[in-house]
Amino acid sequence: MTKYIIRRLLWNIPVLFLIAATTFGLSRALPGGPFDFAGDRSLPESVRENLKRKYNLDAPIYVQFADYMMDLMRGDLGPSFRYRNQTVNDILKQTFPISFQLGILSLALGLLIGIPAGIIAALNHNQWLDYLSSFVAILGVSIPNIVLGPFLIWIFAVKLGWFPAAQWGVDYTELYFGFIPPMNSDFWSHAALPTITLGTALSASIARLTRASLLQVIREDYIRTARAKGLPERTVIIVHALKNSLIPVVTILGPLFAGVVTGTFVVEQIFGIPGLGRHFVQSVTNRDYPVVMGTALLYSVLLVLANLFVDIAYAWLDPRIRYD
Amino acid sequence: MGRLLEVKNLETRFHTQDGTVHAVNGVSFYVDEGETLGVVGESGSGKSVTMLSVMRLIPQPPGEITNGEVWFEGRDLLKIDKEEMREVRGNRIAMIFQDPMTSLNPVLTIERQITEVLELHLGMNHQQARARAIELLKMVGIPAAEERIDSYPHQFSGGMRQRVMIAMGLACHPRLLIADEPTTALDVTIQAQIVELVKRLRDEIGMSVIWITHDLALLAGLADRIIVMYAGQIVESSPVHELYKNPRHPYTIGLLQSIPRLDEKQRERLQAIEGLPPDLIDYPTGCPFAPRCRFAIEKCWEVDPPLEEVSKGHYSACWVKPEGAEIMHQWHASNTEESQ
Ligand SMILES: Nc1ncnc2c1ncn2[C@@H]1O[C@H](COP(=O)(O)OP(=O)(O)OP(=O)(O)O)[C@@H](O)[C@H]1O
Ligand code: SF4
Ligand SMILES: [Mg+2]
Repeated sequence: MTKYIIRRLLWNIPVLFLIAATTFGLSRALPGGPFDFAGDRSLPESVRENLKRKYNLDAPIYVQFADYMMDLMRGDLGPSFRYRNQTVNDILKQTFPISFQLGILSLALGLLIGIPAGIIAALNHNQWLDYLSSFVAILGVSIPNIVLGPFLIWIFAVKLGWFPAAQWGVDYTELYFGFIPPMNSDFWSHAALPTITLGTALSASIARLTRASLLQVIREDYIRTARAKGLPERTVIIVHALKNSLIPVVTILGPLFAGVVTGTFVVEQIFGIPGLGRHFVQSVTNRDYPVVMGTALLYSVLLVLANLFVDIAYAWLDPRIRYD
Repeated sequence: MGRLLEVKNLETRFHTQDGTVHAVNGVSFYVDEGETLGVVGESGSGKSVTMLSVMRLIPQPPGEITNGEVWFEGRDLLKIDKEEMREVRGNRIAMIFQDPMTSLNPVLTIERQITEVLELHLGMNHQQARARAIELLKMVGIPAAEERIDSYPHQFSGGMRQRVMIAMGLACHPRLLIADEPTTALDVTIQAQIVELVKRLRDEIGMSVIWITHDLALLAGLADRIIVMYAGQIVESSPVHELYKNPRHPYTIGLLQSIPRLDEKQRERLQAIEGLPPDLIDYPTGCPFAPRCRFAIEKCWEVDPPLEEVSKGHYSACWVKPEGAEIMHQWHASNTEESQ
């Protein structure tokens, strides 16, 4: 197993290299450049030329890429072209932990609600509880965050005043190990509404998947065997069916995790959360090449790691799967 | 011998999109203590659904037991509540299934799958259950049971898995074992081993057995009595030797004529019954076998024949009740002639 993990990790190095090269090439192939505008004004030609020279943008592209990779080896993601006094490392350090916290909380909420809801629906297949939970799930999937978010703000922040309407409760300087927030009321009260917004959609799709998968597994011969043994229905489901039916759920968890912890643009915008989400979008519009590279690489590394965890989880869920 | 199980007028339906499937239609039979009952019939004749109804394991919906009684140890199993029924399953009545590849849970160890029955019904703690499970595996002939108990099903061959299924079924010393084609998925030598194993254990434990199969020949050395099913009905019921000697239903005669015999040189002469069983959604009014029957008379198309006693303990549901002994005799004679 350890061998397998090491091999997988090594294998991913060329993959990540390819992603880096492609992103590097594509971002620069976009028309326009990083210094076309400063605010609303366009910069004079001479200033632009100077800036380009300063950041080595007039060198041939392979030289630029080689330089970038050399810096990357040292863990230096370069300066931001847009936020002139910040490096990409600074930006990631300040924004990624916040997106990560929101993502993890939402994912946890999604699993906590989604899996039991899926089980309940499957157990009451074609009965009112199933219809009810399927209805709620479809609602959860189809109401976009951009509607649910403001709606929650309006009720719970504006009308009831239970939670703050915006912002994130902790600053990156307060984090333990640069990642873990202090678990104070400030943190939780700010996290509540965005977590519910994001978690609702996640729990809805997890519930639907769990239900479908469980309904499939319940028809298997070994479930009939389990019932023929006289086991209570609860044991039949939890011991005999659940583990098998979680395999597809675990499969989507990899990409879901990578996507959600790197920030969700819409939710972060609605709640004014200073997360990473907006940098994915803005860096591209701004042609802020180093930020584009930094966010893309971070996402790729997370995806690669998450998928590795998924594969390890498979082996745990299904003993027929062995890696060596 | 006391009566262990008595099924009366069982009727099971499946409500599907295409209509109602009449899977089991007024089936009555019994099993005595220590007796082995063979159940034969071609695919779709309702063998499995009948036994799953007895166990109340029909998926509901789409299935529904619309009528009947299932008397076992003084109670009608169709009337007791779910909890009481769970006490019967796996404990008083055990069931093993056709495909040992899919009937064991792939993600749980053999140990877990056997011990859970012992813990559930006999209240053993885990240690006792494990020790007993090892004994059971040895009893069904699993070599190195102490080590292999911690394996997963995929690490066993088909035959070994069926042995595990049997060990699981017999864990609580049931009064009745229902075996639904347990050897169909296995090759011939393994098949014979499994039959021998069940016979031995049946005699040791003193339980009754219901053995479902397509294969009449297999039942010769195993069953005391045989019921023959066709289109969800019992068409003939008889002590085993009587049935082979003098079958009294055209369908049974056809089945016997399709058994390949070792002394027959020309296997290809063996005669399968032509035609298909009736549509169970659009169930016929007369005898369901009429379209395929070479003895059919006019009445057969109009009225479904009841099961009637032809000699002691031997019943046939047929208006004509041809003498199978003579037909079989002539048939064998002509076969031997032709092959010479
Ligand atoms: N879940 C179900 N839904 C609809 N119809 C069903 C269902 N299960 C069984 N049936 C129908 O009931 C009838 C009897 O099936 P059953 O499985 O009892 O046959 P069988 O005699 O056991 O056949 P085989 O020898 O192939 O196992 C068949 O026509 C089958 O299609
Ligand atoms: S009742 Fe008629 S059709 Fe049916 S088996 Fe007997 S002879 Fe054949
Ligand atoms: Mg069957």
